[in-house]
Amino acid sequence: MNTVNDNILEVRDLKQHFRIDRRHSVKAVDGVSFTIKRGSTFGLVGESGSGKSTIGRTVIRLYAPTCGSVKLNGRELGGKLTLQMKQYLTGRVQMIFQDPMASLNPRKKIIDIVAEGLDSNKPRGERNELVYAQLERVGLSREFAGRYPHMFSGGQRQRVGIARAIITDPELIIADECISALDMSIQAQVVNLMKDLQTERGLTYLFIAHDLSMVKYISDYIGVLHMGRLVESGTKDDIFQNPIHPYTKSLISAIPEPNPLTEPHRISRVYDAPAQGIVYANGTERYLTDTHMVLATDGELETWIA
Amino acid sequence: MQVDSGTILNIQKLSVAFQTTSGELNAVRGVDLTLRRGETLAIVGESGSGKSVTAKAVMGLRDSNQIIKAGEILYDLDGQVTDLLKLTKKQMISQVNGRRISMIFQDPTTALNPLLTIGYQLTEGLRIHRKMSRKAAWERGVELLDEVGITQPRQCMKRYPHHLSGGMRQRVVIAAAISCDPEIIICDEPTTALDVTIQAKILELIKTLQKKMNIAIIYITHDLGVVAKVADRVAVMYAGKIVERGTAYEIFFEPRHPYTWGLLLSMPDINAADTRLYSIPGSPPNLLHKVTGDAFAVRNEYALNIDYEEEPPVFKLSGTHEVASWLAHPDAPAIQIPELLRRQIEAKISHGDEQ
Ligand SMILES: Nc1ncnc2c1ncn2[C@@H]1O[C@H](COP(=O)(O)OP(=O)(O)OP(=O)(O)O)[C@@H](O)[C@H]1O
Ligand SMILES: Nc1ncnc2c1ncn2[C@@H]1O[C@H](COP(=O)(O)OP(=O)(O)OP(=O)(O)O)[C@@H](O)[C@H]1O
Ligand SMILES: [Mg+2]
Ligand SMILES: [Mg+2]
Repeated sequence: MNTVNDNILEVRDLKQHFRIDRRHSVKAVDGVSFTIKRGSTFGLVGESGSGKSTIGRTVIRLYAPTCGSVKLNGRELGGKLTLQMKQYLTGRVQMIFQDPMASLNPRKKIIDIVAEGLDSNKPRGERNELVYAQLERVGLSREFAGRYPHMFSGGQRQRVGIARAIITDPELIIADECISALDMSIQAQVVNLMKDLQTERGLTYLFIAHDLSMVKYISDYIGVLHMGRLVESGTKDDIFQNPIHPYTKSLISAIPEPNPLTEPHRISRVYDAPAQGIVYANGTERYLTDTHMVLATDGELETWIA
Repeated sequence: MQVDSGTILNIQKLSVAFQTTSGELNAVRGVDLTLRRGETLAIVGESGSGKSVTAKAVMGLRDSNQIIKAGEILYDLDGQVTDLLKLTKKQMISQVNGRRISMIFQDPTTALNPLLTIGYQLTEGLRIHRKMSRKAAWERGVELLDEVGITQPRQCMKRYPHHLSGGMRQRVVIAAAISCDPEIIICDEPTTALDVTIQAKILELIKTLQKKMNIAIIYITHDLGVVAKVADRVAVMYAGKIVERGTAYEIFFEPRHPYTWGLLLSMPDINAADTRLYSIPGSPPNLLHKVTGDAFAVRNEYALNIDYEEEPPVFKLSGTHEVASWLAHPDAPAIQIPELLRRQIEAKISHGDEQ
């Protein structure tokens, strides 16, 4: 297939079940489908433990999916991973994590950390120049290259993480809670940087986070995950202006507002699927518009829209 | 403590440094804090400004390369005002930690032992500090898990930490922290890893327990929405110092320190259009070097000459509001709060009045 593919990532009916013991397994991801348009940002939000990180890790094939299909640029990554596919994946998809300290080896110098993803046969001079270029791009001067991670502030470490991710010139970056440990000003800095890089290089982001105001700010599309299911997805406006699923509504209602006059008394909406008689397995994907999907039965959709 | 009986913890002039290969790092540079019974004090501020180091000093969690340069942490231990810094590690563990002061960390993985079941870890404190029987402790453990919103508490008791998501692990840690009815809970980013619905539940839970048990809480967070929800008073830290403190109202609506202005301006406005986010220019000072004058001066567009020479003293603005900035000096030029921030504040106040 040589046609230009508008969707960089297509995930279909992805399931990821973990065996706990002989009798129990966790259905971490239980039939999730979504697509990500090239050059856009897809925000993935949802309950703690709903399977967000698992989806991210499955896309970069830290896990083989239990079943379902994951296509990168139209190429199937879901089945058995051939060496050829593995090479195709490495470099094209990178991940940045929440805790920059934990993800950076404390004994390695910044230069070696950033160069990790590069071909080890690259001549040293060329390699170093590439590292300096990435560091400068994320706003760190080249003299930082010889230092160790502990000498950096949280924001600087997260920049190192980004420099390491972009050095292989990836197409897709999976950012799993990559700013949540930082102060607001540094979060803003990192998000601005991510947006600039997107404009410059046409990068695509899968942005996983709990901070919905930041997700709203950075995302073009948003998927809402609950108990391993995508219960609603759509453009940022679909989700924030016209949320349909009661879980989405409860999530939005729980965003704390930085206003000490109103926030202490505000009560968020409660969502309790079993109590409300919602069984995800009975629902199917309903499209309200081209972009706006809700997981529901006929009856549920009727009541939720009414 | 020569203070009124409402004060439960009194940190005086605390200075903490770390011995590093590149020299001494002055992480906390003279912090004064008082905590009153039953109140919630939020600490916000720059990443690396010393919030966690201050909290850990109270808990007696001492890194091997840590040096207490100065200060005392006064706490009423059975009617005896005690400097916690003078207690040994053993005394801290047997008399203070868990029982009277407990801490909830940001990263639940470090707080739980991967080799022990949730049930074992949750009931350990109850059996040791509260002398409960195995069976009673187990039942109380199930109750606690239920209270923090874990849906199948009995099953969860038998699981190991790695079976749980980050969010579920944090709920377990919170359950453990409240298990022995402490007087003070120090929360260091306890809900950062949780989704907002669970966060809301946990904040409400902490509030309810706080009221019921009259617990005082120090709440460290970057999320100003959370601060607005829980805090009675707020302290803003920058480069190892408290640069501003006041009631939640004063910090959100009458901020005086330029760093506080920058922090408030950096929040994405959930109702506003997608303009570029504001971030404070420059980077924080390197605390391996001696700081002359105001540590924020180089990033402060309103900095005065004196900011580069002399450290600003603390100026009292009201009975509760204090700021360490030369801009508050009576002879300083009158600098208005940034226009954009002023408009945001007015909108919030009028929104508050409507309700
Ligand atoms: N390797 C594993 N073995 C067993 N269970 C797992 C494993 N990894 C994840 N799980 C389980 O799968 C579910 C989804 O976990 P995941 O980490 O993807 O959630 P998440 O949405 O990222 O949550 P959080 O917001 O708390 O980070 C959880 O119930 C978790 O306990
Ligand atoms: N054991 C240690 N050795 C050396 N430096 C340390 C040590 N512990 C903390 N520091 C340094 O002390 C400073 C203050 O750290 P602290 O963890 O208190 O920051 P913080 O305000 O909690 O930041 P964040 O918001 O990112 O959690 C940082 O520069 C940190 O790198
Ligand atoms: Mg996760
Ligand atoms: Mg901290």
